[in-house]
Amino acid sequence: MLLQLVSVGGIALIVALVWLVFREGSPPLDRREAIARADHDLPGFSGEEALCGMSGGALVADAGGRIALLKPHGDHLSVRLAGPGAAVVRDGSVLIVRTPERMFGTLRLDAGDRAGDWEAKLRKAIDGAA
Amino acid sequence: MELPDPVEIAVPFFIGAMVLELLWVRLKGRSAGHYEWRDTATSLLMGFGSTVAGLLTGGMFVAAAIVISDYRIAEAGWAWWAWLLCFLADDLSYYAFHRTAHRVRWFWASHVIHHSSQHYNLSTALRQTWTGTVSLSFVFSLPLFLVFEPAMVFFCSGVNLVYQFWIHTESAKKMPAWFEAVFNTPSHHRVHHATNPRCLDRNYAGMLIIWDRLFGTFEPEPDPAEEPLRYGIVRNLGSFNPLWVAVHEWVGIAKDLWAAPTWRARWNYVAREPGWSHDGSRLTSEAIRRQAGLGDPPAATGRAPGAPAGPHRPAA
Ligand SMILES: [Zn+2]
Ligand SMILES: [Zn+2]
Repeated sequence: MLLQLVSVGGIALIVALVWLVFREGSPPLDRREAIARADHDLPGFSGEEALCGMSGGALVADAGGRIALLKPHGDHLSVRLAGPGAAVVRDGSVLIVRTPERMFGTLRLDAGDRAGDWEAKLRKAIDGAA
Repeated sequence: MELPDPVEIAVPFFIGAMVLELLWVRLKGRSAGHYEWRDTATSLLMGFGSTVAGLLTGGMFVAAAIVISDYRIAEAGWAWWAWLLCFLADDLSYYAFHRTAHRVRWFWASHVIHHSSQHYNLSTALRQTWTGTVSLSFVFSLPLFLVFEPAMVFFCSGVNLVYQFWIHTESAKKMPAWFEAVFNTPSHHRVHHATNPRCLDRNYAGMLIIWDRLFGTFEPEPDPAEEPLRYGIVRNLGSFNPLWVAVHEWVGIAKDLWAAPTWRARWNYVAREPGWSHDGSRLTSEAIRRQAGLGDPPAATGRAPGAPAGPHRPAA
């Protein structure tokens, strides 16, 4: 029981310290890093074109029109392929992509003036995979 | 003989070491590691949960150990050589458990929790499973109870677990060559947590790296300038929810069992390596290595053709 008490106190202390000490987020993603990340996380995928969101996250397309979704997760990224069951909505310049995995969450990406372009690409990728 | 629980004694040291590491990382920058508060919170909650799960389910292990020790085939007693042999045997049984935990999805479903952080720091060490005992991960150490005193075995495996704490860091680069040759180190274990194809299913060691060298599963750490390591699992969760971290692979197994076309496929979804699928739609670690131009690992040459592939991929 003492162990549990010490542990709970320790957890609170460490998490608070980490929150205080590491407050700045990671540097914004660039195109090259986004492509490298997609290629690493999706074996067999070879990214050619990338759209980096203005507040994190990215979309990476390969030559065959497949699209990798790079969702910010803490100061890392989690990657999925846009496939069957995924859905995309556009709200102005913001693209919102949902995957069929409920626990994976939603990718929100401010795509600026390229939002329409990438929305079309995404729809094609999702329909093409279905 | 009454022996203390090494893990219990170590908890305050764990906390102190994490404080020191995170301040060191702050000072030295990203080359020394990184912390993120939600990731750390999840890791520590998983660690806390595993101690609670231990209280609830640990009795299963103790009961099995007591039953087995009734059938003792030797009496090693408390001699110094018995301690030495027990440490070695326990470390070897850890290797056997750990290797199986990466190669059989049933055991992977518990062990994946430890690999589910994309960070690599001391808090990652405490990201422990909640379902280890109920999934019978302890069977690998049961043979030890045929020879050694139960309290000795529990103590040795506690020490092994505590030893593995300090190797979860990017702050220590390399130990002296003799140490790297014999012991598991931060460098060796970084490889184990990385998802770079060459690192998959490598360096299963607990305390001694000699088992990996002996059984052909050793991989040295690549030069970070040439090949930086990426930590986590191939299909990272994208969630900090501790409950989801704890059960996601079990849910994955359940879904596969439900959708499997045959009983043979059902068996394979549980007993084969993570990433196996009946239609070859997923990637196993061998398939990923092959795609990356690396050969099959020596232990995996008996695989069926048609490279399974896929979503629930194993990680380091
Ligand atoms: Zn580890
Ligand atoms: Zn492992």
